Amino acid sequence: MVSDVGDLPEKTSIREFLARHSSYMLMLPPLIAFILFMIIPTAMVLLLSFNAGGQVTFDPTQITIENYIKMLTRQTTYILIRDTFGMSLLSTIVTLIVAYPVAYFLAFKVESFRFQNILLFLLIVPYWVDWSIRSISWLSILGSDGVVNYLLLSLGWIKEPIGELLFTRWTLLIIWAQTNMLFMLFPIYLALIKIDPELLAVAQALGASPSRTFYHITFKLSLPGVIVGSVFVFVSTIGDYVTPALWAGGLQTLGLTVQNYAWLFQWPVASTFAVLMLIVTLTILYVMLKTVNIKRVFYE
Amino acid sequence: MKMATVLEIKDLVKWYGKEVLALNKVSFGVEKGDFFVLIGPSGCGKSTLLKCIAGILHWDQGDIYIGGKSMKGVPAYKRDIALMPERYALFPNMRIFDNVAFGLRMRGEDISEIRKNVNEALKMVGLEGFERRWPGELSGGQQQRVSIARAIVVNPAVLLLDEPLSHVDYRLQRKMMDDFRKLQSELGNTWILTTHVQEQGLSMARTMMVMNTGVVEQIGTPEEIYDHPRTVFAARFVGDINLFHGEAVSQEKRKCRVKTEVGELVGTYLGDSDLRGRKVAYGVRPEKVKITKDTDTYDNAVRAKLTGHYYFGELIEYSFETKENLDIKVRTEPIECRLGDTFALGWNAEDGSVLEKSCMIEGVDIEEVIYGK
Amino acid sequence: MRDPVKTILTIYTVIMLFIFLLPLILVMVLSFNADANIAFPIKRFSLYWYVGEPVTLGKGISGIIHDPYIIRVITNSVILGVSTAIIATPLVTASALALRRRFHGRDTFFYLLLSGFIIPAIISGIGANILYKSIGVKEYSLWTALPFHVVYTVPFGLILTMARFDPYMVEYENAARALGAGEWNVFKKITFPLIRAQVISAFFFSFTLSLGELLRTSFVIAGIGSIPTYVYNQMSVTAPTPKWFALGTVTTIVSFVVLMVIAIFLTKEIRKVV
Repeated sequence: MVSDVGDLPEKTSIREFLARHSSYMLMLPPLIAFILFMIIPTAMVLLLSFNAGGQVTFDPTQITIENYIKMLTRQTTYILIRDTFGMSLLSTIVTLIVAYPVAYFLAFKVESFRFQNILLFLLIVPYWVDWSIRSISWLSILGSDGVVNYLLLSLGWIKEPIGELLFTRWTLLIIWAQTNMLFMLFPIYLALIKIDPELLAVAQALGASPSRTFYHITFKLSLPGVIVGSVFVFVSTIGDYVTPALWAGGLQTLGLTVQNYAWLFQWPVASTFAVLMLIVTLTILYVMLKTVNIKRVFYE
Repeated sequence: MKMATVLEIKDLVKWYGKEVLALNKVSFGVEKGDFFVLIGPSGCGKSTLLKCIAGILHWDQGDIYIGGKSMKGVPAYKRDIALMPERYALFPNMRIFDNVAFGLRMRGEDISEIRKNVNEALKMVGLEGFERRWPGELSGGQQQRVSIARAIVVNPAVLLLDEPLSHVDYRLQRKMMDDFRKLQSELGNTWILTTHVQEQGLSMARTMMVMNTGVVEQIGTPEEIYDHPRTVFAARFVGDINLFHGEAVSQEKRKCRVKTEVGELVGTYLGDSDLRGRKVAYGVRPEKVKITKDTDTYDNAVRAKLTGHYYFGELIEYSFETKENLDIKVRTEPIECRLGDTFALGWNAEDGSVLEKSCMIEGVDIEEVIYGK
Repeated sequence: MRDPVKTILTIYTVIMLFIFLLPLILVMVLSFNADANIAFPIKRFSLYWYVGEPVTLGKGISGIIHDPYIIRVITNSVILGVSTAIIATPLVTASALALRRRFHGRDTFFYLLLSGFIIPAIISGIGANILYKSIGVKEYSLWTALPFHVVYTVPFGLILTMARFDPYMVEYENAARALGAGEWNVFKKITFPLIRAQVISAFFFSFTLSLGELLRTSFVIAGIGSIPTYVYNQMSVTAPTPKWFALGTVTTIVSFVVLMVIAIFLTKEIRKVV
């Protein structure tokens, strides 16, 4: 029997199968890794918050919401939220303001691509000094024996060293800005370099002055990068219990609370606060993602 | 009788780096209300010229005057112009409506005016209803049309369009060319377009300018350039032409007799030079050559053998070969013939052009231009 | 003044760079302080904190070279960092390449990958702890921290890689396929050369981020630990000495060397193969 359309292959070889579904194949390892080490742990934290006492792993027979009730009825919880998110928000804004001009400079005003890379490399180098050590170096900068005081003293501008440069909220902001600068700068830089210069030229040819071109075209097009960077920095600062503990004196943050409970082996309570943190973070994230289309910068 | 000149280019020079001379002392003027088409092959400098006029490219020497005022140091956004760039450059973060409305917003028009004008502009380019779409959703041709609408809607003194029909379908091209002319005469401003498709130039332009490697070859109405090209380059670029080269033998008033390989031909020469004894080129358009039995009716006659034909739809282009192995093309309505038949081809002096220059660039040999460069 | 904006921005960037690099500079400078404090300015210079012999009184007072504990810590961090990068980089590359095409769940996949950076560190840390306890892992080590380092560094590497993809990459690949190249060859000869620079930067970032990772790690590492956990523990106990700065300087240099070696390896080796 002659087939006039051509026979279907009897079995596809493994190679062909892999090639045709290459996207799915490629996705498998990261998918597994993330489900195992991201989704499941987070889910476990979520679940554990519904247990009580000194449970270490989830016990489905003892589900209770007493942790939540306790947490939500406490006055201090809300102060905690306000302080933590307030500081993180402020820090994000400060970092954004500081980082954006540098990103813009790198993307638009540095002609040679090579030089851009060199400058970016320079920005990474400090990160190889461990972060705690870097924070300590701020002691040497802002402390009574530090550089700033030394300069001010020798210039005769002050009589005695200023001790209050450290351990204030401002210290925290400065240190956080330094720590997180890279996470803000890079996404913005990446978004900026994708802007076709012809867009800027045509905007001017249609009557937009340089500052209006910047706002309507450049800035708006860089928003996805700004959002990604801001989210990175915001989340970084929210979860950071070390830096405020060391440098901001008495500032109690959510992260610190979680850490405290964890140390006391009150894992479920710690989880409850962690969940609170997570909910607020995810809400903010959701709102940000809906307002700006970040996908455009990174794919499409 | 001096018409108002809205745009004047004086000795414009532009270098790319140290080696590429994009504009070589270009000078010309454009009258107010003109529909001016810049044509030329790729790389001739027409885009560069347009961008200099727009103000998005700096030039090295010379000056540009818009409305009588020098544009040196005047940035693009302060010039009364609008631009449709060659690669359309739609703003990806804005919907179609906002893209088209952009120029108007920058000029501070109020929203109801903007809405009206944007809708009209979109209708004109055939994209009614596309206001809410995003540029990424549109095809290349649609994007181009949006870019055109975006420039048109601003209604500036000088409207600049860089290759506006390059990705538009043939049918739509014809319609758009008509619409352009109509719109322009309604609005009364000056339009400057570039294209490398000379047919578009011929159809649309009121004034046409042919460019070649940074130099102006010829300016005139399409008829002038088509019927009386000044250089071999212009003759070849605009329309098709049969070309021979030879030496000018005699010259009187507007007629010139040239000794070519296919014999002595007499043609028209409108220039001032004395061509006698000089190397010149002789050209005659395919549709002006008649296939005839009676060689005495025409000033020029050549015998040639039919070697092929090319179907143009409404006309046929017949290829002939003379005994000197030179090709002649004739465009005419179909005739009775067989391959290999010998015919007499004739035309009159006013249909032949004598060209003294190969092109406006010095030092380029006529022979190089004819035989291919 | 041709471009006033450029001038202003240049000045601003230089100042910012300086402020940004100040901690690093200070760390390096103050590590040579002969006195056991980190006050500025330095009165006497000395290499003690690097190479000094142990002093009999006071525990742990010696130069880095003579402190096996610290050397172990540094080695741990570097091993962890390199391992993280070695695992994370292919994951990043695979994800970035997969995300080029449209498919159902593409967005979800993208956000899933970003979650490594988005979920606050503590949650990750606690979750890690609970996870390990639930599956019965009792002993913590460098390697229990590894997967969480990987998951943390992938997102940043991912956006770094994806944002700089050549838009014509798929077309080049298709051209190669049409000319008869098999999938592996397409990757080797077309895709990889195009993304090589991104892969290298992803590697760098992975390593760098892993080095500095404290919050997640502290829940799941034990024993001698990594540099951040070591320093954090020390900081709560003793006053800072230049030895820590020496540690910081050594870390920087070691990182630099390690990354340079790997970068050269990746460019030369791969070039040979390709």
